[in-house]
Amino acid sequence: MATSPPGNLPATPSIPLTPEARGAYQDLYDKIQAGIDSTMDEATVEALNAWFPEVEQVLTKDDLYKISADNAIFDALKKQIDYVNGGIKILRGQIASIASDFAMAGDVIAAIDKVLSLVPKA
Amino acid sequence: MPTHCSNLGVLLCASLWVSGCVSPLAKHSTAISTAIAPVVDQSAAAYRDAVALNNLRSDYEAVIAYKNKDASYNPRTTPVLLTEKEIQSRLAVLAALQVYSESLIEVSKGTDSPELDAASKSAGSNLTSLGNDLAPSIESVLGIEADKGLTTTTTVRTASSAAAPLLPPEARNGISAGIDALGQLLVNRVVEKELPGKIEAMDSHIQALCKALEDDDEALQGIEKRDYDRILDLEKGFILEDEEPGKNVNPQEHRTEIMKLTEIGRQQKDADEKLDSLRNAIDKLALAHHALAAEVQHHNPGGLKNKLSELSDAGSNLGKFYSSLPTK
Repeated sequence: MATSPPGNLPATPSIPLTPEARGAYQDLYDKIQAGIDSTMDEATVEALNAWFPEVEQVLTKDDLYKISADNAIFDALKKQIDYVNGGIKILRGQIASIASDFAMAGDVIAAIDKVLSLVPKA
Repeated sequence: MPTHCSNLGVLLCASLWVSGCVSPLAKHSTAISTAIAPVVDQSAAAYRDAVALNNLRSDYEAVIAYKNKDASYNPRTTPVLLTEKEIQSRLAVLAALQVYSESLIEVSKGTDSPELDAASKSAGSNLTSLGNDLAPSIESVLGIEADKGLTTTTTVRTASSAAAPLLPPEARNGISAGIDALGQLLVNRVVEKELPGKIEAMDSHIQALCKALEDDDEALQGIEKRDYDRILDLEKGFILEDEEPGKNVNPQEHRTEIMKLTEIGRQQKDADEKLDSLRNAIDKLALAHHALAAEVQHHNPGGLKNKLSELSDAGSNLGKFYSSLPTK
């Protein structure tokens, strides 16, 4: 069964971890993983596997805390990006309007051409 | 015809200035669109892969819980790494980002409108067909004289016009280009006035979004690595346990279990590389948008504002020319 991590590391540290605490748990994690990788003794692997999750879960909780904080950030950003997108949509409408006015200018010139072509030359 | 060439030169240069103005926005808009695509695609895959892996790891933990007779284990309360709602909130913001990128490209296209092209070509052609009726006025505006010795073959000469057209094709093209440039100038004035503020406002959001995406990526990378480690460690424990005397495990099944380890190891490496690649794509997106924001904020001395300023001067002359035509 699981036991507390060795050394001075608490089993339930406060989350988010300080960079120092994170580094200490990561170091412990790496050492345990290296221990599992370097043995073919079933009892040793079983013992290490038994309380390895205690260390691993501390790191994972710290990561989940970041992801959870990101949830709120993503929701807020979505609203802000939508707002700017609305402004750009209006801008596109203004540009289309200018292009449309110019097409009309071409028609006006064509109409002048027509009128002048009907006027007898002096 | 030095004067003639000079006026044509102004018109054509103005057109080039317009192109010079449009290209940075179009270039950066395309760069942003290119940068966004892998972020959106890879992020969606990364979230779902991480959840699938975490679920697989939960399956392994269930086996251990039963092996240890852990009565606290309850499959109904197994945590999920990211809920569907959490994934959707991420995909929604990425979709909004794609809308933004597409809008920028549309605005870039707006400065090079096919309608403007058609209108200006039509106007230039119509002016040519006015021939002698309007030619003196055009000559006056352009400051050119009819070239009596002009021998240029033209497609606008008709059987009824015995005299050489006073507006040769070069002039007609110049007028078309000038009118087109004027239209684009007006469009660019709208772009110059409105768009920089929007891009600047968006830049802080995009930098914040990229930071959040990178944090997500880093957290997922850590969780995925440990999920794979745990699966490999438990698999190793199962294999060693099967080798205990008296287990009598089928040798072929035993070998199959061992070979699963290498496959899991490959998947772990692949997942890790994908998340590295995603982080790289996020970095590129942040940089691409920042480059655009710098361009519109005029941090780049050769950027949008200078080009628009040059265009505005040229456009002022073009405006006088264009508005004079119907009244002469």
